[in-house]
Amino acid sequence: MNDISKERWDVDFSIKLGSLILKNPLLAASGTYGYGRELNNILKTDDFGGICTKSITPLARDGNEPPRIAELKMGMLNSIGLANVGVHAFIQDKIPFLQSLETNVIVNIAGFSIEDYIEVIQLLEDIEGIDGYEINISCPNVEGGLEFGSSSKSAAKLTKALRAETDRFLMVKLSPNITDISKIAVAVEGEGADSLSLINTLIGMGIEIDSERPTLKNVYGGYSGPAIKPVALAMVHKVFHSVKIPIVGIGGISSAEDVIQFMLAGATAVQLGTVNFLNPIALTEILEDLVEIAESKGIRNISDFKGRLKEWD
Amino acid sequence: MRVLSNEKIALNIYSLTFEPTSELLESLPGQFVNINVRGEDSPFFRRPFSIASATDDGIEIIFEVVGTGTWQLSTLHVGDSVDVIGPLGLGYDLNFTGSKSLLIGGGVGIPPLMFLYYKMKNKGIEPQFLVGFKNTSYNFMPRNITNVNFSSDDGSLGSKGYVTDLLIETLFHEKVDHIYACGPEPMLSKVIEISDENEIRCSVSIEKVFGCGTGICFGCIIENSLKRLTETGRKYSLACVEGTVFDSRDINL
Repeated sequence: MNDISKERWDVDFSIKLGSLILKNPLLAASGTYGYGRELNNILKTDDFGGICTKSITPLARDGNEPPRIAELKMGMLNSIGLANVGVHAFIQDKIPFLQSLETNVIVNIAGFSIEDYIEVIQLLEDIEGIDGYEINISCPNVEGGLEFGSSSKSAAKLTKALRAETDRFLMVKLSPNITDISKIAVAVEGEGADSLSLINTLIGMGIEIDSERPTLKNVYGGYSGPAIKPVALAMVHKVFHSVKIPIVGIGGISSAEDVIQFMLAGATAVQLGTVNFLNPIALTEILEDLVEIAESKGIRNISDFKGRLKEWD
Repeated sequence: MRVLSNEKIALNIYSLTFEPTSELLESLPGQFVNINVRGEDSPFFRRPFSIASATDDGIEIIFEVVGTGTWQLSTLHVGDSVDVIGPLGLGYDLNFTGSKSLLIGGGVGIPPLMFLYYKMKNKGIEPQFLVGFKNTSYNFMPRNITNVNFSSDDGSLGSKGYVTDLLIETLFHEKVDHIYACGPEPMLSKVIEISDENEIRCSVSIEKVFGCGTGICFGCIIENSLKRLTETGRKYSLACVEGTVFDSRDINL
């Protein structure tokens, strides 16, 4: 077991994310760290600055039919389909462990109508040990069929409805599958979101030449991993110049260099996603490397990297 | 983990051993290690390998070179380091019931059954072992495993035909209480069909594409049988953490 005690380092890793204080700027991304307990014997979940749970929906979901993951050269496709235990079993079976954690617990919420999201939040509001919510807006709205995150109007409407339900930290996870992400970001900020996390997966597809079929049974899936990092960096950079609320960068982060790049682009914190599948101790390795880079650049507070990107002359 | 040996033991088949950890020494047959093959053109996901034996002399895996990842593994030398996570998954239940056990494996599905065989021998149980290979060049059965009946596609080793034909023949004149199987899916489907017809308990070890091997990516699902669906309310199980070994009555292959 690796013991990460920040005392032995000269770099202060703590950061402020809205109303939350994180011991370090690395969070576990939703859908890549289960319910927080699965890998706890390999790496202490507490070592993360925070954990975003699997997306929780009102009812349990089995998810899509297999095959629902596929590997690519620099990433993977998934069409898990929001498989989760549902909010009631989440409260009964998963919350007790999450409450025992000494890190920020952010429950990711998904739904197919505004009422779905509200139902989950209302059931979680009185439960202690939850530090905030992350709203997955990349879900199709049954009224109309489009994703909530696909237009400023629907994203804003959802954010407004959820803001009215909670005073807890409210972070909205933006979809990259749109024309102008900053428009959505501004709209969501305008309705009271405390933070934005971006990006969710890019829509992608694989095709098998032998069978002449799509790789995934669902045909389309979400593309994640190192391949999407440049897309994510550009979007974080764009959004940083459009809003005032803090940004949590996501997209193919697998090294300390990646973390610093996202912070330079304007992210206050970042999420580790697909890398958790490949290397369950990625967090430890990244934190150790971050110290070295920060020290070599004379940085005492990790938050000093935020938005420091210089312009070309 | 440091590589202790890496030998070619049959056509395209290698036996690789690496340093044990205390956790790995406690591993059960049917459990696996997930290996990150780092290198140029290495595959994105880790690759799962069943544990073939676990002793103070090392943790052994047996693999066939089928792609870039396994090719890279085959080039590792003694002293090289290999990035291993494990043991992962649940293994075979070692509370052996009944008096007569039968192990049936196909190709590189055989290694976890070899490990199971060693565990059974330690408990004084002598199982019957049926194995199938493409042909005799692929045979990697070690000599210390006795009581083996072979089959091969071309008849160059043992009887000609599928190992499941051998199973039918065996069950014709012998009473078996529990079948333990591992191999390609069509073979496992046939083994389950035969077990059901003969009302014999059957445990199968399943392989799927694993995104993580640790139960967090939810990719490696296997469909639950109506029985298990009723018990759990879930349509799928995760092959990596709820398997790799399943009671054949719990899943639909």
